Amino acid sequence: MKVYSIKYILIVAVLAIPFSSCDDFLDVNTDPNRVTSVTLEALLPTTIEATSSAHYSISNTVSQITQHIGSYFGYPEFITLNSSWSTIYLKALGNLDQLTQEAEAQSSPYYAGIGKVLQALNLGLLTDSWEAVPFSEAFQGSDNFTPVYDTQESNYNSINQLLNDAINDLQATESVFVPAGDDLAYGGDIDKWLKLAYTLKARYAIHLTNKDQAKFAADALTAIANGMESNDDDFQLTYNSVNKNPWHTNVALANNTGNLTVAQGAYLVDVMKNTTADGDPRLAALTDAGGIPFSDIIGLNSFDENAPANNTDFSESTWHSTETAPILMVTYAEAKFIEAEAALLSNDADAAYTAYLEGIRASMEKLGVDGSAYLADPAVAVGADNLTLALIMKEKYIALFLNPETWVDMRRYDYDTAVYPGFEVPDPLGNIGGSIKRVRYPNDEFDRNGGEAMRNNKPAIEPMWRDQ
Amino acid sequence: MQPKISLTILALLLLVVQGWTQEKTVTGTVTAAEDGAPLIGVSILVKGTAVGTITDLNGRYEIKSTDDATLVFSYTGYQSEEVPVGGQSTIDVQLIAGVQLDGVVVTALGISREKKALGYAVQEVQGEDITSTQESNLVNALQGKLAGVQINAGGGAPGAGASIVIRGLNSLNPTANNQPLFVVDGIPIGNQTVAGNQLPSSGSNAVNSQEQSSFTNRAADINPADIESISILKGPSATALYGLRAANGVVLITTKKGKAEGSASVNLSTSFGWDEVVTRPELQNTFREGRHGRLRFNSDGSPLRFQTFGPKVYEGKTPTFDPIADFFETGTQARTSVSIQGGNDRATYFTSFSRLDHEGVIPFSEWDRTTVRLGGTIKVAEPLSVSGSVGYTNSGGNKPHEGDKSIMSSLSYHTTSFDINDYINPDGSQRDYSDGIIDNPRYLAEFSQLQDNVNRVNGYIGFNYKPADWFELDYRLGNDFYNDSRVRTIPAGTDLGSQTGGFIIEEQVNYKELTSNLFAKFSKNLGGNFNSSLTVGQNITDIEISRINTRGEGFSLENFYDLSNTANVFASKDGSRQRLMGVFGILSLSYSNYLYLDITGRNDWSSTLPKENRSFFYPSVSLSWVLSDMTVLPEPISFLKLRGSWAQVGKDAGPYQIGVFYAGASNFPFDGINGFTRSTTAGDFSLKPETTTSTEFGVDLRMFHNRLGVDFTWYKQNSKDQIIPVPVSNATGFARFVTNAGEIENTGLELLLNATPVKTKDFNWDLSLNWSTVDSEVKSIKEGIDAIIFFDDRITNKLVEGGKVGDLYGWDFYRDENGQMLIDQNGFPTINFDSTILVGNAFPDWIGGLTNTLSYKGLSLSVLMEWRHGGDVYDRGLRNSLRNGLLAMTGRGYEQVVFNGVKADGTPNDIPVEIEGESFYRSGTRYNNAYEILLEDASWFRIRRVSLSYELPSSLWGGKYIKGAKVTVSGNNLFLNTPFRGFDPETNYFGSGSNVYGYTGLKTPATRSYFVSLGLTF
Repeated sequence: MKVYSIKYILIVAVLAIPFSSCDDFLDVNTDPNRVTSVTLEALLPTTIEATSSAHYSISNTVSQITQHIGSYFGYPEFITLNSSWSTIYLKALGNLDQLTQEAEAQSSPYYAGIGKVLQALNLGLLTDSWEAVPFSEAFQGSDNFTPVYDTQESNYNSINQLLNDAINDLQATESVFVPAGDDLAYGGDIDKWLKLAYTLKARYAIHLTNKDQAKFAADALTAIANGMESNDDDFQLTYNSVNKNPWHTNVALANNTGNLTVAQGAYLVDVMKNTTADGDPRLAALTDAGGIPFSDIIGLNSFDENAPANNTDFSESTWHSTETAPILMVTYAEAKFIEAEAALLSNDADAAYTAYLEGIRASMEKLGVDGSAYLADPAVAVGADNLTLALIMKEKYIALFLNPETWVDMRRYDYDTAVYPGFEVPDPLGNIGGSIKRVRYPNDEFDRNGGEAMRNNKPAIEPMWRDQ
Repeated sequence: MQPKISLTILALLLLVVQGWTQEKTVTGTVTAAEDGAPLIGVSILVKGTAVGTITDLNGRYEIKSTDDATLVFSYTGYQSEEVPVGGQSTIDVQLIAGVQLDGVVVTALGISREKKALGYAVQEVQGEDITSTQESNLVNALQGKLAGVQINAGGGAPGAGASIVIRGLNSLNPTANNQPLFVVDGIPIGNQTVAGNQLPSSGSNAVNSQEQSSFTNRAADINPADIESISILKGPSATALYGLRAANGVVLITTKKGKAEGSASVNLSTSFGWDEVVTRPELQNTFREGRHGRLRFNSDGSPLRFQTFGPKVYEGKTPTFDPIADFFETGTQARTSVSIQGGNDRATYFTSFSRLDHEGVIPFSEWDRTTVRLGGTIKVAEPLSVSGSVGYTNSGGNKPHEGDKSIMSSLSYHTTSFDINDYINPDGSQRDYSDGIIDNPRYLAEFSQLQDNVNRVNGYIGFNYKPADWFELDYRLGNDFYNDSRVRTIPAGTDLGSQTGGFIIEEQVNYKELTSNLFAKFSKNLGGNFNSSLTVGQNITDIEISRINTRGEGFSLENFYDLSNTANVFASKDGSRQRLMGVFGILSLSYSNYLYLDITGRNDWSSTLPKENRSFFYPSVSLSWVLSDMTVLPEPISFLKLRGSWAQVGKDAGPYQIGVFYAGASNFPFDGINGFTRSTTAGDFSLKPETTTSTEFGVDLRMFHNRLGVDFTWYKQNSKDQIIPVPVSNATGFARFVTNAGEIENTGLELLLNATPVKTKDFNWDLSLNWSTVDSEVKSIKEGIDAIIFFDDRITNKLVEGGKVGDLYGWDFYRDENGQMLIDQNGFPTINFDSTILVGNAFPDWIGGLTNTLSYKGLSLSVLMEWRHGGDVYDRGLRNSLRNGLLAMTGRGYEQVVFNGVKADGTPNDIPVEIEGESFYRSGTRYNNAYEILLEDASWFRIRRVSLSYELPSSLWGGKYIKGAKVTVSGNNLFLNTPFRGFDPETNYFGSGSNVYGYTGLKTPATRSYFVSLGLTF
């Protein structure tokens, strides 16, 4: 019997050996469809596309507050931008954090500089929407699950620092890796990135005029001197027939099947109709009203039940929602209006007036319309002595159609009707109690970083640090 | 390192066996009482031990035993027999045919065990009880029969997936597999529900593809007629030997192998059935299409409305239709199954062919299945037998589109004043009443299709070597391969296709699983009344899944649905490979015939865990104490057993979850440039296996000569260190971090009651009741993480610490401190969106099933009633109908009301307001986002099945060629009583692979079916 047992034990053992003999058998936990590291040129395009995508998703909501557009679903009582938050943190800044670190490790200041410009721009979108947001302790993965929400002041300092570093990097004489076609915005033109960096410095300086008007107007003017010089310098992402413009797919095409979301707003249309007797020629590019006379065009009013029905629409042929339309993130026209405002605040009316006219001209040129009559109209060409803040901000409002930057401007001036004549702050059901000044943190954050989110959570109508 | 450990454990376990002996040899022959034919494969156990054998092809057996032992003879389809050995050395036994199978049950590794020796709960369902349901999906066939098992049918689409959850959800991960392992003849098979990616690059609001069609759970590929029996192993004690993949229980399927009856026997069964929608929402018929009481048109005369808030209906003048009744058709089911089985003293075989054709209640929806199976056993040389089985299945059809922008969503919006079947223009384009806003469901049914075609082969080959009674060696190698080939097409002129110009998706899903199972079993009498057996084994699993998805968007030519006809093509591929190895042992000890102790241990090695953590061990112990065999109990008690067990089981991670990866970014290549993005999920480098620990106690009591039986089980199951993608603040750079976190505790009661109130020569009445409840508590999540959201759409399914699995949160109206609704200055209630409150739970308080079987001579009537008490669901389709003015509850309009509630100053509301249909029912701030409007009690009682069958007396044809014939008429879902307003609330919004419950609607509604069937035996 003993002999038998041993024999069977041997059989079992022998059968078992081939199956348990090697670690190799279990070493199959490597994903064949993903990689564990990538090159700089593989990350840059993604971050530019994500930045553009964030501009779209933020604009789709905050342009309802600026009344660039109105929503068929009515006027919001508060706003959330959950998908924009995710896009910026996960797809833009997450990858940019990696990109800039890698670029520095690989002695490639051009990539590092571009990365920092994009970081500054995305951080700007964040803090201008939510005020306090995580940055200094962000992107540490499992090392810090609950990054602190930095104050807006701290974030503005970070933006400025990033832009200063970027300017330094972009002026380097050597870079091991140099962007080319992977730079979806400028095709590797480092000079243009440099001009963008200066323009952004001017933008984030002019944001702070409520803090120290003289200082920040002067800072803006200093920076803008090295900023964009023509529409060719515009920071934009141009879409194509495969990667279609999101206003085209999500708004224009959806409208075709009755999934009505938003249309050009009543305030925008009224401003553009009423500046000159012949109307603003850009109105025809901005909205599709089915070819009716400009004076009959009616924008969407989302907060007044008695307002006449709109006939404006985003269609496949309106400038901002064609299949291949670019998303305009930072433009030469904006640079000119920053300059105009800063100069006016610095009591340099002549410089302000020149910049004001150039801003309008650039905007007309961008949309491909003939602006000569408009520019010559006495309501526009008022002369340096008659230039007002309201005129500059009106033209900036039109030129920066669908740009989230407009919401910053309006909050800086607290929706002042002296600056934005006729602008009505809606509160249709009386539940808001004022004008909307900030975006509500994503619900996710209350579950995932609840301590910080709760600590910084404020009512929608409470102004940000920047605007006080 | 690991292999050494495995061999050491193996050797240690084997050492125990050294030097065992036995005492006496008993031989004999087992024959069938009715014709004296030898029975092959009859299980013979020395009572109270794990010592056993089976009869050979001549019905002969040989077993070592002792004089004071009792032999238990059991055989599927026959009543068990117990014979004391006494001084005999030859014991011949005749077994009497009958369905009573009380004695023996198939347990882990396919080992038949005496039920009374088990220290844990196992429930068994016979093949005949599966086929008699006429359900094509075997998961559905188990409905109402099992205590502690919740089965959710995926609705009425042919081939719809069904989910099965044993003892409650125990995972904090909404996408983790919480369903049991399916094992066929000892070889695990895939029961995934693969939703794939069925979404275009833009134009869909679907959260994922799970809701897009009722994708089939792959166990539905099994032909129910091939099943001999199914054992449900519920807790970790029962499943410990199957290892980590069985942490959620096991559905153990044994297929028919054929009997050595000499001549071949042929079974033919055929049935035909009709389906109709079982319940439906009621629609209002007061108002027709339009807005704010008017018909509205664009300036060009085209309609400017899709709502049904129009002018009043004037009877006889306004055309009125019932879109729901007009849309659904009567479905049909036809099934035929032929099997031939037989054998002689050297071999047995079973072969079958089956075909199912199922056309659904939605036009063009269909699913068919063809199966072929061949299996058998050959005795090669005396101690060695070889068995094998191979099955081929082809299944598929056209899945009706569900969820967002689907057939069912457009039906939920469709007005009552237009004919839903007037759907197509002469040029083939869609005709709809709303100028392209709401698709016509009938048009979608015909043109928005998803064809699937599955080819699947699975089987095994097994060797059994049994040179001595006390030693047995068994090896099985099995496979499960399938390819699921899908083509999704949608034309440009539809809501879903509009943003992309129509699209086509071709998807290939490939699944490959290989299993190797080896075990050796040693039996030994330890002297006196002590007996023992030891089984040790090794198991290897290799699973490979790949999915290739090619999507073409923008058709150039109309009505030509092919990738070559698209402007933009997107391709993606993903896949995974996972390997597992385990060694295991089970030591069974018994004392006399009343005390049984099992100790098991298993060590697993998983490829998906970090190297240093990939080996893990877990034990179990279970005890069965049969009091009635130990001592004489007072009269009405014929059997009393107490059982208890404690077990652990480990669980590994999914493949490729450790670390950070980069993959191609969405919306890339962009203009010919490729872009990569960091994964939004990062995985812990020190991931370790998660553990489920279970404690179970049970009582099995039978009285009045087994005429009344009660089986009661209590268990507590703690799943901790769960491997979950913990949602983290996106500011960390990631959305999720896969780590060990959290614990869920499930506590449950299960009650089974069997009774035979009447038993006479000709008339029998049997009843069987099951009742169960599960209470689950989220004990912890992770420091700093307050909640894990499973799904969020007005009603949020989320897990919070201290809460229950399936808790639902929603928005309430503003209320004062007394709970009175606060009415605003305009006279309306308003919804408080500041925070959600706990408003319900998706899971029932308890579920139960009662089967009554009455038989008189050849006539048999069986009725299965089923209860689900509690459980709330939100119907996403009903909200569409509500907002569009279709539901009966929107029939009130243009009347003045004063809402009950108080004004801001605390005085009762007295502000009269006009309820103008659209501005109220369509208002999200005043009405349709409140949980009171959305969430409903989904309790139900239903008569799940009624079956009346008649066994035709053989005198009708003399019994020469036809041995038996049976005619059955039956019905499923014949009666449903529920407070729920919509279609049958049993249907889950998400597919059968999802853990998200509490949502329904926009799925093909559940059906009521009637069948006529005929079974013949030649």
